[in-house]
Amino acid sequence: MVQFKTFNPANNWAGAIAAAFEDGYIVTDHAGQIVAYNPSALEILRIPEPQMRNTDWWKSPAAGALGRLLQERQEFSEYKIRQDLPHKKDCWLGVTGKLLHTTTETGYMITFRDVTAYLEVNRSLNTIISSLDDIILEMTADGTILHVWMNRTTRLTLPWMEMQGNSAYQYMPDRLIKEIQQLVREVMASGKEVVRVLHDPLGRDLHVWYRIRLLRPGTTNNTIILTIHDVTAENKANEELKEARTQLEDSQQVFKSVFDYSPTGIALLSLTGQWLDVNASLLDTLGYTLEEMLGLTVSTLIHPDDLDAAQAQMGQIRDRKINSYRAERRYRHRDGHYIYMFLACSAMQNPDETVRYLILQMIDVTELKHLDSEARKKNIILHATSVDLQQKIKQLFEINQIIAHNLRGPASAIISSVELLPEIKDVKEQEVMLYHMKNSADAILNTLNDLKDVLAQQATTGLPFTQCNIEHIVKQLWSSLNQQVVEKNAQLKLHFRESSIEYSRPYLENILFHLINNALTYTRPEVTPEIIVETWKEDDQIVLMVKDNGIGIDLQKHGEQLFRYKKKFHRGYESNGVGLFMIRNQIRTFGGSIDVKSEEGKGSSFFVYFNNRVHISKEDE
Amino acid sequence: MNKIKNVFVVDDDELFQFVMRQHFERLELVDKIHKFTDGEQALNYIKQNLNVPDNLPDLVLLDVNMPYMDGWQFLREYVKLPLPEGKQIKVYVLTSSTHESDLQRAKEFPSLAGYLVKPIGKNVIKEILTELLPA
Repeated sequence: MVQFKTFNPANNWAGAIAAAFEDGYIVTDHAGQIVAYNPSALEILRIPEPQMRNTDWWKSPAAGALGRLLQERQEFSEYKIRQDLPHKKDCWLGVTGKLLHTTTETGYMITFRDVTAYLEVNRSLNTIISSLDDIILEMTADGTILHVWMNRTTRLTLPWMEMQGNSAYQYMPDRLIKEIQQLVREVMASGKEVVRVLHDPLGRDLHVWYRIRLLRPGTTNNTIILTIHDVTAENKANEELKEARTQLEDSQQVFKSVFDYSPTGIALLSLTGQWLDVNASLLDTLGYTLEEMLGLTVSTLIHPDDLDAAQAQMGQIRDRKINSYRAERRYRHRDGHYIYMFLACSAMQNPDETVRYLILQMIDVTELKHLDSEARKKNIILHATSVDLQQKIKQLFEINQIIAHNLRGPASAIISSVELLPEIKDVKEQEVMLYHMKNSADAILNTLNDLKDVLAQQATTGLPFTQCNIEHIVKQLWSSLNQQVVEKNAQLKLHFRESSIEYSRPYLENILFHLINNALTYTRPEVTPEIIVETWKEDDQIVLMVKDNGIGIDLQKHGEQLFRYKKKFHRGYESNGVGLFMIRNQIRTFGGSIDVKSEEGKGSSFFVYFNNRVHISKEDE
Repeated sequence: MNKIKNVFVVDDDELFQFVMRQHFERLELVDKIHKFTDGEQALNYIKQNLNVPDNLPDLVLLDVNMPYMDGWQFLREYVKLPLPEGKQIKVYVLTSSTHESDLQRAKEFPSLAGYLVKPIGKNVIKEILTELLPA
C-alpha cells in the first residue's frame, strides 16, 4: 500500500522545506504511483488532493503534457510546456525531470513552476527581435547557445528548440567555423559590431545570401549576439542593379566608341539647332574643328534651299509628331562648297518623353549623287538612242512598204503590159495602154522622188537647230494661204504657252504648213472653219496642237493608215496622200512623234511632240 | 462552153486594170469583168447586190494598197457580209508586196483562196479561171 506523504511543515524539516518550495513537485515510485507532492504543486495546478493522488488520472489525456512527462520518466531541464489548467487556459510551465535514487528503488520527480508571464515577455521580445532579423543567437564567447530567436524559418530550417545549450558551431559548415570564431574574437576584443555578408553560410542553398552581424549586448556580460539576416532579395536587387549599371556602362562605352570611330558622321544637336557634340568623321567631312563647330548652329550650314524642309522636320521631332526622319540635304563645307549629305535624325528623349536632344547621323553622298546623275544622263541618252532607233526602224519599214507597193506595183504592171504588148493589134487599145504605161512610169518616178526626199530628211539630222518663234511662223503661213482663208472665211486662234521651239526652221514650217493646210482643206461647208494652234509643255517636251472643226476622220477605219504614203481618205478633196507621211517622217527623224484625235463630222486635232531630249543628247555625244 | 459569170478586179492601178481586162477578154472564160479602183467601191457594190446573186462575183482579185479602203480593210468588212446561201466567191489577194508582214496578214483571213504576187501572167490567170469552171 502506498503511503502518501503530504509533508506537513509541522512534522519535520523535510516537510517544512517542501512547503517552503515555490516550485511544485510531484514524485512517483518505480511503479509510477504518486508518492509525494508539495503544496505549491497543488497551488500551481489547482487540483484537489484526491485527484493529485489518483495515478490513473495522471495517465489520462486530461493530465495533459505534465501527465505525459510523468509517464515518460525522462531526465530534462527547463522544458517549456503548455498545460491547460482549470483556472488558466494556455498556462506555460517550466518543467525539469529528474530520476530519484534511494538505496532500494528508483523514483522520478518533476518540478515545475508557472512561467506564463515570463514567456509572454519573452515572446514579445522574441517578436520584436525576430522582426529585425531572421535569426538571433545569444551565445557565450566559446559559442554555446544561450538563447535562440527565430523569425522566418523558410530558409534556415534548424531545429531551433533544441539549439539552446549546444555549441553554435555544430550548426555551421566547416568553412564558416573559423571565420565566425575569428569574428567572435574580434568582437570580444574590440567590443565593436562586425558585419559580413556570406553566400549560403549553411551550405544548403546556393541561391541565398546572408548578412551576419556580431555584437556585444553590453560590456559587463560576456555574451555575443549573432544575427543572421537573409539578404538574398536585397542582394539580388543589388546584383541586378550592378548588372544594369554594367550594361549601361557597356552601352555608353559602345556609343562612345561608335561616336568616336564611326565612318558615319554623328552629332548631337540641341533643339535650337546648336551643335552639342560632333564626331571626328563629321568634322572631317565638313572641314571644321570641334571648337568651330560648337560655335555654329545647324541652320548656318544647311543650303538655303534645303533649310525650310530641315526646319520643318526638326520642328516635327520637337513637337513629338515623329520620332525620326531621313533626308538628303546640302551642307556647306568650311571651304564654301556644298556637300550632299544623306542623314538620319532621331530624338533622344527625357524620362517624361520630352525631347532632350537630336542625334544626327550623316554620310557624304556627293560622289554617289554624281554617279547617280551620270547614270541618269547616260540612261537618258540610251533611252533617246533607243527611241531614235525605233523611229528609224519604223521609217525603214515604211520605206520597205513603199517599195513593195508603190514601186513594185506599177513596175509589175509595166512588165505585164510589156508582155501583153505584142498581142494588142488594135491601135486605139495600144494608145490607151501606152497612156497608162506612161502614168505608171510617172508614178514610179514620183515615188522615187518622194523616197529621195525622205532619205534626204533622214540624212540631214545635222540641220541647224534654232529658236523658232511659232507665232511668227504660223502667221506667215496663214497669210501665204490667204486665198483659201478668205474663200472659206476661216478663223485662226493662237494660244502659245511655249512661244518658241528649238527646231530646224524649214522642217517646222513644213510641219505647220501641212497641218494648217489640211485643216483649211478638209472643212465642213456648213460651219465657219476655226483653226486653233496651241503649244504647251508636257513631261519636259513641247507639244504643238493644230485643231480644226472640219470633217474629221474615222480613226477606227483609217487610224493606222493616216500617216502612210499616198493614202487617201476623203473623196472629192485635192490630196496626194503624201503630206502627213512626209511630216511624220520629218518629226520622227528628230525623235519626236505625231498623234491625232478625230471625230467624223466634228474635227481633228493633231499633236506634235517635239522630243527635245534626243536632240540635246545627240549634242552631248 | 461554160463561162464564169462575174470577175471583180479591185485595184487602183489603171495599167494593171487594162492588162487584166485584156487577158480576160482573150481567154474568153468570163462573162463580165468589173473594175473597182478601191475597196470601198467594191464593197458597196457587193452590199447593194446581196439579194441579186447573179450580180455577185465568182472571183475577186484584190489589190492591197489602195486609197480610201485598202485590201485588208475590204476583207475585214467582206467576211462579215451575209452572202446568199450556196454562193461561192473566191477571193485572191493580188499584190506587188512580197513583204513578210503582208503575207502574215493574209493568213488572218482563212477564207482567202490565195495570195498572188504581181506581176502575174496569162497562164496563172487561166489556171485560176479553169479551177473555177464547173467540170
